[in-house]
Amino acid sequence: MPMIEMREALNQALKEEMTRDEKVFILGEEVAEFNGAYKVTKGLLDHFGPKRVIDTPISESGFTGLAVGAAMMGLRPVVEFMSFNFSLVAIDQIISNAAKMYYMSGGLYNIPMVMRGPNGAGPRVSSQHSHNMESVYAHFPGLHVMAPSTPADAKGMLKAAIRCNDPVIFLENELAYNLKEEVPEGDYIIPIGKGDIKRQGTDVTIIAWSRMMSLAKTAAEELAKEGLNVELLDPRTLKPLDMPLIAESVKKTNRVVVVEEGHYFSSLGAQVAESIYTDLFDYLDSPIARVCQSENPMPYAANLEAATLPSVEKIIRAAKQVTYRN
Amino acid sequence: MPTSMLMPSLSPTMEEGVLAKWLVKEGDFVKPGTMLCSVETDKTTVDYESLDEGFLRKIIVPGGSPAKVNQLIAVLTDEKDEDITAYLEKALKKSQDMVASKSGAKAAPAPVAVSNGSGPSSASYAPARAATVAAPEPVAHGGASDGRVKASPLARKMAEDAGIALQGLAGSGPNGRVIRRDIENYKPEPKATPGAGKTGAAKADGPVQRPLFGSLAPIAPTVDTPINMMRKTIGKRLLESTQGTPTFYVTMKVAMAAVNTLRAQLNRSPGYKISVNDIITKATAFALREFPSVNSSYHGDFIRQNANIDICVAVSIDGGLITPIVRDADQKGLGLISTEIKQLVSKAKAGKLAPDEYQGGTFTISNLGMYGVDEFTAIINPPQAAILAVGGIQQECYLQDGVAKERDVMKLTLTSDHRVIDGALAAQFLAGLKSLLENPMWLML
Repeated sequence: MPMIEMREALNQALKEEMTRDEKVFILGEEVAEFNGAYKVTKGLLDHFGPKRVIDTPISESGFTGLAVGAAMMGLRPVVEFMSFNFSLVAIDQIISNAAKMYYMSGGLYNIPMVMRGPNGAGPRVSSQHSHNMESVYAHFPGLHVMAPSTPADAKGMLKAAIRCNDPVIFLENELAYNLKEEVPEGDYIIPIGKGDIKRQGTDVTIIAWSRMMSLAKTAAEELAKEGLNVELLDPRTLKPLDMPLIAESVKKTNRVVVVEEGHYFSSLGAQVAESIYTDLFDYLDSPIARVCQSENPMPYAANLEAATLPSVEKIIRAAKQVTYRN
Repeated sequence: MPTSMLMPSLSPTMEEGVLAKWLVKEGDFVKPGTMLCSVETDKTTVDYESLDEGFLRKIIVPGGSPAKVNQLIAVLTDEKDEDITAYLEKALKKSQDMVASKSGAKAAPAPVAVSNGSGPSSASYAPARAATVAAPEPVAHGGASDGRVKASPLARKMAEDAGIALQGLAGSGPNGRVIRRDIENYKPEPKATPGAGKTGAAKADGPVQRPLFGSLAPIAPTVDTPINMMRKTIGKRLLESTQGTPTFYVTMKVAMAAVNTLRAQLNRSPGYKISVNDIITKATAFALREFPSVNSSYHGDFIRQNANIDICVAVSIDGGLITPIVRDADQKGLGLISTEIKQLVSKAKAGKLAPDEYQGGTFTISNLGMYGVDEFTAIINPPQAAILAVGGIQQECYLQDGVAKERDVMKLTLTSDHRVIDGALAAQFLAGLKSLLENPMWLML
C-alpha cells in the first residue's frame, strides 16, 4: 500500500466519488483556483472543471444555504469550510436548515450534503480560530458527525459521508493533514457509526478521536514501558457512537479515559462518559477520567497554548489515575 | 448446668430491644417451645421461644426494661435451686463483652444465646432469619464505621457473583474504595466452624467458582449439623401442610414466545433486566385479581378471601429457604416488581430481611426453572390456599395444521388446598394465567 498524507487520502476520496457520481460537487473558499487552503482539493478543478469545483465569495452563510438548496434538488454538495471556526457564520443554515429539512418537509427532502474542513486548534491561531465544534454539531438531531484520525480512515469515511443521504459534519484537523500512513488503493468504505480499535489492550480503554488519537498512541507506548497495557478506541463517527464496540472494550478493561481536544464542560466526551455510565455501570472499576481543553479561551502564547490543550503527559496521568497506579 | 439466655437480634437494624413482658416466672420449668417472654424491637413485638429444657433460675432483665442485643437476660438451670453465683459473674462479664463487640463490628455473627453444653443437644437461640448469618460464610468482618461500603461498580458485581461480603473488606482505592484487585486478591478468613473450611478453600482459588465433578471433587467428610431454627421452622410448617391439607395438583403448559419477545423488548430499555420470573409474578397477580378466591387463606373455621395480593417469592438461601413478599403485586409495574424482587433476593441472601418483608403474603410462587427442572409440585405455605410451581422453558415440537413446528413452552403446576379451591377453579385460574402469559400485552391494561 502506498504511504500517503491525510490531505492526499481526502483528495482521493473526493476524486473517486466525483468520478463515480456526477451529482457530487465541491464549493467553498479557494477550493478551485488555489487548490484549497490546505490543498485537499488539489487538481480537482483541472479534472472536473468549474461547474463542479466552485470558488465562492467569503460568504459561509450564503454558500452553505446554497448547498442546502442544491441538496434539496438532488445534487450532492461537499462544502469546504476553510476552517470550522468559519462554520459559525453559517450555523443557522447548518442547524436550522440542513439538519432539520428532512423533518420539516415531512420526509420530502433529504439533504445529502457533506460539510468538511479543519476543526480544532491550529498552531498559535489564538482564541477565535481554535474552536472544536464536534460537541456543538453532535448536540442537534439531524446531523452525523465524523472525525477521522488516520489517512486510511479519512478516505473510507469521507466516501461514506458523501454517499450518505443525510447531512454529515466531517471534521478534519490542520495539524494532521500531513500525517502519512499506508492507505489502501481504490474504492473502500468505512461505514458511518463504525469505530475501530487502534491498539489492543487489557488494562484501560483510551477513547480518542481526530488528532487526539495520535497523542493517545504516544501515551500508550509510554505506558506500555511501565507495564500498563492500553487499548485505544477511536469511535471515528462521533454521532452516532459505536456503543457496541465501546461496550466490548470497557467490559474487557473496566477502566476508561476519554480524550478530546474540546473544552471540558457540556462536551461530546461528557456524552461518551455518560453513555458508558448508563450502559456499563457494573463493568467500571473506577470513575471515568476525561482529558480536555481547559476552561479558558485559547491563548496566543505557545507555552500557554500547550498548557491549555490535552497532552501526552495529561493522558498518561489520567490512565494511571483510573488504573490506581499513582 | 446453667445456660445463659441473651437478648436476640430480631432485625438487621436492631441494637436494643425492650423485654416487654416475661411469660414465665423464676422457678418455672420450661421446655423447647415454651414462650419465655415478648420482645419489642424497632419493628415489631416478637415472642421468644425456648429451645432448651430447664428451670428459669434467674431473670436478669425484668419485664418492661430495655436490653442491648446479646445482653444476658436470664439463666436457665438443670436443677431448680442450683447455685449459679460463680456462673453468673462469668456470664455477665461475657455478655458485656459480646454487647461491646456487637456495637463495634456491624456484621457480627448471629446473636446466639450461649449454651454451656456441647454437642447437638445444646440448641442455640437463633431466630429463624438470623440463622443464615450463623452459617459458615467467608466474610472478612471489618469496621466500616458508617456501614456504607465504598466499592467500584465492578467490584460490587464481582463480590456479589463470588458470594464475598463487601462489608469489612479493606479497599485499596482512594478513600478505601474496594476495587477489582481487592476482590481478585481476596482470601477468606479461616474459620473454625465446621463446613467453613470447604467453602473457604473453594473460594480462595478465585472469585469464580466452577463445580468439580467425579474424582476431581474433594471427598466430603461426614458432618453432623445441628438443626437450626430455620430448618426446624421449614420442617414443622411443611410437615403440617403435607399432613393436614387435602391437596391436589393441576399442571398446564404455556407457550412462551410472547413472553420471550416482550422480555427482549423491555430489556432494550437501559437499566432494566426483567426476568421471566418477574413477568410470571406480574401475570399471577393479574390472574389472582380475576380469580380472587384463589387468593385466599384457610383459618380452620373460616376462609379468608384476601383483599391484598401479596405474592411470596421462594428464594433459596444458605441453609434453607425464605419467601420474601412483593406486596400489592397486582398494582405494580413490571419495572418495580423486578427491582423489588432483586432487592428482596439480595437481602434474603444476606440474611437481612426484616420480618415484615417475609411474614404474611397471600400466594406463593416457587420457580425451579433456572435449574433445568421440567415441572414439579410445591408444598402449600399455610394458611395460603395455593402455591404455583414453575418449571423451566423447554423447546418442543408441536403440530400446527398438520405441520411439525418448534416452540418454547413452560409448565406451571398449581398445588391447591381442596378445602378452599375446587378443581374447576384451579383449572380456570391456570387457564387465565396461561392466556396472560401467552398475551402478555394484556398486563399493560
